[in-house]
Amino acid sequence: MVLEQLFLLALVAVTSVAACVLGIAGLGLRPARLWEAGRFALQLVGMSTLFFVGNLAIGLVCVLAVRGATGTFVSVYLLNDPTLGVLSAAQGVCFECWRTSGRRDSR
Amino acid sequence: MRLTIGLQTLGALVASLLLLGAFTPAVNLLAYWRAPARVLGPVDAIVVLGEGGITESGRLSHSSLQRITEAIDLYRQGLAPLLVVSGSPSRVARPEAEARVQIARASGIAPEAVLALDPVRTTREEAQAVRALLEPRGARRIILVTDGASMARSVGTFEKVGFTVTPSYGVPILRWGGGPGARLRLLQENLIEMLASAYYRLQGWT
Repeated sequence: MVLEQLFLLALVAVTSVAACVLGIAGLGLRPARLWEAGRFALQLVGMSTLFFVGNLAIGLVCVLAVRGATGTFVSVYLLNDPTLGVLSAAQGVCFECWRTSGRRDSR
Repeated sequence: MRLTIGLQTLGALVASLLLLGAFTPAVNLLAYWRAPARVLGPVDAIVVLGEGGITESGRLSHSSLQRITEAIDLYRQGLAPLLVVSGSPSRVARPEAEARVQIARASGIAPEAVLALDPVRTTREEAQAVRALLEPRGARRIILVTDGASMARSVGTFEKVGFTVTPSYGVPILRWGGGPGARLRLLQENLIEMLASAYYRLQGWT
């Protein structure tokens, strides 16, 4: 069971190493920039999380407001949809790339 | 600069949480810790809560079917003389409770032993409807059948309206297994339920 679970990690580790080799040897990327790329990836995750939490909070307020104001039942489980996560990630990635594009242009 | 560092820290926290959730038994421990435990024994009624409802094709959802099967199994063990069936409304077909009642009767349970609630939409509504149904019968001790993640909130809600509640599994068993995807789903269910529990506590419903 543990081996089965480690398979995914091992798979990702192997393809990551392959991507590193390809990046350095094939595309001429600088190894020193990898750390920076990792931090930028975390930034994207962070911004996506902010959008996700914001979407959830606003969605929750809307659902409760509709329930309170009209008496119509709207299920909170509307927000329990993986699409919201995907859309929040798209929002986060797009916004963070936009926010940092000026800085990257000036380098 | 501070925003950038903040985002990186948040991203690292979220990534760590996801990795921990997917590849360690931390989520299994969380689910075990949240699950209420009582010794399973004879009660006045078995109450199966709505879950998953009716699908677009007009059939019971997989989770709804699982729960009614579990309830029928408990009934057949002789743990209660009554089976109370709940469920959500449906736009495409008969309500969930009605479909479940048919399954219970088709399984050989006497029609007078199966009681159906009118369609309800929340756990709080279910607790109130079950009380209205069982109070005249003097039934106060129940076994509650619902999914593991929502059991704690459901037990609290039914206890708040006066029932003595035993979860359908009795004493929970710590399960270490499950692949990364299953563990992440378990994490998601438990996070949602922790939010819902906080909301119910704020409202004074548990």
